[in-house]
Amino acid sequence: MRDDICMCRSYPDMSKSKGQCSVRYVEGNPASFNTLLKLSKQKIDSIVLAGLEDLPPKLADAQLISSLIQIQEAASTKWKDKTGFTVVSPLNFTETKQVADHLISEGKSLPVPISLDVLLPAELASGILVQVTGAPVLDVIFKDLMSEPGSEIFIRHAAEFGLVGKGPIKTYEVADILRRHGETFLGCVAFITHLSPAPFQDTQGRQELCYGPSWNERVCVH
Amino acid sequence: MQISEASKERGSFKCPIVVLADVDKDELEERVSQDSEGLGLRIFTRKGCTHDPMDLKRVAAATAKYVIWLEPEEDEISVAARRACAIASLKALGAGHDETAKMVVQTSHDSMKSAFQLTDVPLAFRTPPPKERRRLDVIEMYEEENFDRLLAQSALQPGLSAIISDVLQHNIGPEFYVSHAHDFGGELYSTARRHFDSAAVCGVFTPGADPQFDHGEVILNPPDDTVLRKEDRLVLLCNSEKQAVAKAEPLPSSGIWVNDVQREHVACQSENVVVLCFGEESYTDSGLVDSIAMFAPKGTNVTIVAKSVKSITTHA
Repeated sequence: MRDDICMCRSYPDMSKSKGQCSVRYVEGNPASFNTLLKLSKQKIDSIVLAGLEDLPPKLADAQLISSLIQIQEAASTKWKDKTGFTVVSPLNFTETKQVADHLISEGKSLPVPISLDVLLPAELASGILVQVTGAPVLDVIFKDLMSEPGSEIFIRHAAEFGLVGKGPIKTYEVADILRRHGETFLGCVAFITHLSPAPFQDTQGRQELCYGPSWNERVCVH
Repeated sequence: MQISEASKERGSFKCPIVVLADVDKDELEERVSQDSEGLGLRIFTRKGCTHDPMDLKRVAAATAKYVIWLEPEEDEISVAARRACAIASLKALGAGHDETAKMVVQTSHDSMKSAFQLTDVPLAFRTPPPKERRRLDVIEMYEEENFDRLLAQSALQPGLSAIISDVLQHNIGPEFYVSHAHDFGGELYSTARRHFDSAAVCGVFTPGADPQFDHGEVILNPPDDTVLRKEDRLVLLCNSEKQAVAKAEPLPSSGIWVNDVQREHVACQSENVVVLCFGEESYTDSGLVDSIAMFAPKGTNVTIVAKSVKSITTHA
């Protein structure tokens, strides 16, 4: 397909339901700026860069950076919805993360807020492997977290549990509130930026938390 | 780096590390040296075959406290053969005879679910049954579609990737531990979990009857009225082993106001997800889309962009 003629072609007759979500297919070059321009007209909450594991590691990371630059450019000029979105991607080298974080940081003044969520598959796999080697009992725990019928980790708004506006609350009180709803309180995410969430630093039972009116206050549960 | 962090936090791996690989020794040495710079680990490299008993003997694998066997990038049948030979070789060399040894075998898929019914890890380990009791523990870690699931969850919940990385990797954040030195027999889970003021209590772990062959059972997020047995231990998320020790005095009870708090749904997830598919022309994103569908709330819209939609829909 030539990039300069028709970049994106939708296939509405191929749309279908999958689980509780609807899926539609668009033919277009994912590496092309024109593809992003076409997408910039719709509401987007997250953009996932998939299939990068098929590329050599350094090339995959280079593609992430390249796509991030294009996304920022589109966001600075053409993006219709201004609420912001997250770019989610695998990443192979921590050095690349520093470059990506720099781009995100420099892009703070863009009219559309963009955050970045990256997963380093090799580091995750190594981390699990090493933890299980040192403490085999963790094997069972990780398998539960990773398997389909097992437990999952979720992030929820503090407001969902009525925590906002009540002044200082003890963490064990937060834990008790969440237990009443069948969930377990793991910690807090002080979502200042995607770069520096502060999860779990407030798990001390006696520490007091204070959830303000900002929608950014979130708790992490499973 | 993970080994370096684990040795600091859990006290494991405080011993020399030998890397055995069937690649050029100079290349291996350079790579290892580069990756381990500044980590303070004693690492030795050897060229050799990871399932050859002679090469395993040369690096004293049978007397190693930990052996981590990484799956080669080959077809399933070749991998199964090499893996079985590696496990059998270690047993033949006497691993676990004099001292406790742990072997972690990394696999891309659960070896017991192979369509070809190849020699899986448990079969290689238990066959033939040992004449004498051996202190060798073999654990299989398989990846399956884990990464697609993690990517999908991160796409739906911005910020989750940092949490996942914190929990799964050894770094400054918390890790999973299991409580010790406290008998919770007869206590309710709701009471037992109040004995930790610096840890998130996540669940209950019950050790297996024979730890060598049964690694036990875990129930994460159990009901509060679960009655614990004497052998049960609590699963904790905390920063160090010290925080996994139960306090003698439990935390005080919460105020009555806690019972009156109502839950209201507040959207915290992505509802419009775009998936840009890179990689091979024949790449199919069905694994990722399946994972998104598994976690997505009702009404989520997914847009898949690829060079060739036909190749995707053929495989979906």
